Amino acid sequence: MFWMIIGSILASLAGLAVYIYYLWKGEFDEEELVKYQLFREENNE
Amino acid sequence: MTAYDDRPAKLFIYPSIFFMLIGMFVGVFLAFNSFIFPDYFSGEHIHFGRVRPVHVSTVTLSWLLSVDVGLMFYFVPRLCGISIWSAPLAFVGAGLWWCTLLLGTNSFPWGTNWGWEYAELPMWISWIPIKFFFGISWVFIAVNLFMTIFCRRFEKLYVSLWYCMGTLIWTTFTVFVGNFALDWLPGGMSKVNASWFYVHNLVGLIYTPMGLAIVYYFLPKLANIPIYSHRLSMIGFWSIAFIYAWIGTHHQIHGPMSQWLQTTSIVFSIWLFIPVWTVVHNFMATIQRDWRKYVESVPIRFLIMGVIFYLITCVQGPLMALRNVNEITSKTDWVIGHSHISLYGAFTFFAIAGIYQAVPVMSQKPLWSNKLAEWHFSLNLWGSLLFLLSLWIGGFLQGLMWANWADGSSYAEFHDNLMRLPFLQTIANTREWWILRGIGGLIILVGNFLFAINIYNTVVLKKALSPVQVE
Repeated sequence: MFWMIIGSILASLAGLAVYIYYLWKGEFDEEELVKYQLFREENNE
Repeated sequence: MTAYDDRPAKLFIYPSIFFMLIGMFVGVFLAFNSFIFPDYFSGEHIHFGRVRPVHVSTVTLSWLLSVDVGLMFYFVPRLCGISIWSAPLAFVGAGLWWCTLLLGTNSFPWGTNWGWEYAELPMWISWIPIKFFFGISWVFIAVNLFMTIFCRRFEKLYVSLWYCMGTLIWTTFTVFVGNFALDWLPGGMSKVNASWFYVHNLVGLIYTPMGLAIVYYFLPKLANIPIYSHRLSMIGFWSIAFIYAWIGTHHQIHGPMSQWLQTTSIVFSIWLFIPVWTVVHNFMATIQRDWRKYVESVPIRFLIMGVIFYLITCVQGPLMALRNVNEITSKTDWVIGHSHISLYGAFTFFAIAGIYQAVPVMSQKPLWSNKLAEWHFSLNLWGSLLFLLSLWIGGFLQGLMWANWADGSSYAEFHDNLMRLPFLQTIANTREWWILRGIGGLIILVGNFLFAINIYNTVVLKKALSPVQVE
């Protein structure tokens, strides 16, 4: 049980680290712009 | 312009349409042969217990899961701006996928059922490890799609890609629990609880994210309108991720399961209104900018009607989790109506809309007949309404009849109530609703037969156009 709790906490911290990394990288900046990606000229079939 | 390799998408989408017809034909056969003319055709291999899993597995795995995978192979590369990571890996995955499903789902009449709901696929048929091969094929698919997203050209992730990544992880975990880990758990309620965790997550963490990913891609594409709010879609995605895994226990309300766990599942079931409302509002606010598109386009009609059915099923689900509502609806035909409105009314409608958009683009040919598509939609809508309303009304009346037995506080009173209204009498009283259900199913089947003809003729008969003409 002890190692399961430690494992769960570590997995959660890993998820948090990934989130902070992408936040810092700008993944969540200008959130609404990404919805126009579907209509980019180069993306049209 | 990027050249997309659509062969993996075709390998999943085209056969899945064939299996949709087979699965639904088996369903209609059961509706008539088991409920309207009971055991008109009888025998060891075609009685209800042996044939029902053929219907369930064919429509859930060979149709819906397969077409959703095919549509992901279609739109994930387009949202990433690159072709699929490895076409050969997709071919091997598709080969294993169809071989195992063909063998597995059609072996049930010979008694191979593994015995757990929605996890009926057998471990072995002779020397062939069916479940193992099916699991391997899923791993190939997941690795291929993840690597495509990893190698993407467009840096930011559109909401459909979030849902895809979510479902690739959740499906792996959920299928592992329901199809393999059940064998290793202690018997009794722990095993049952894990089974319901699997069953409900099959809908909530596999078909829901796949279906929503499809709408988030195809609705803006077909209507030529960007989605109303990407931020709102992200709230929906993360709230589904947080809430859904907790609600499986609501299938065991009033059963021998811990009360605290039942209450927890009820609380999380009610919280489901949050992601559901973000999704429904987002889609409706998108199409609200130009409702004419709804009238003009059959696939948009399928998407929007699917969203309405999605709203209904997601209101039903949490309400059925309430103890007092559950007292009436549990174990009745109401539940069958609920499962069909989600897997058919919502997610199959979404997938059909995806096919209507994807097939002309992949084959570079316009749709063979728009008139036939109009008929397809009308037959599907009216057939579904007849089918679903008969199950809901009939099921609710069934629940009210059964509630009569509990009117009293002693076993003697219960026994007396049962003598006044025998169980078989309640079955006979439900027959009219089953006749309506059978007719509704038949109308849906005819509509989907027209759909298959339309898609077949588009791919085979029509002459190829330039990509610009297809647009």
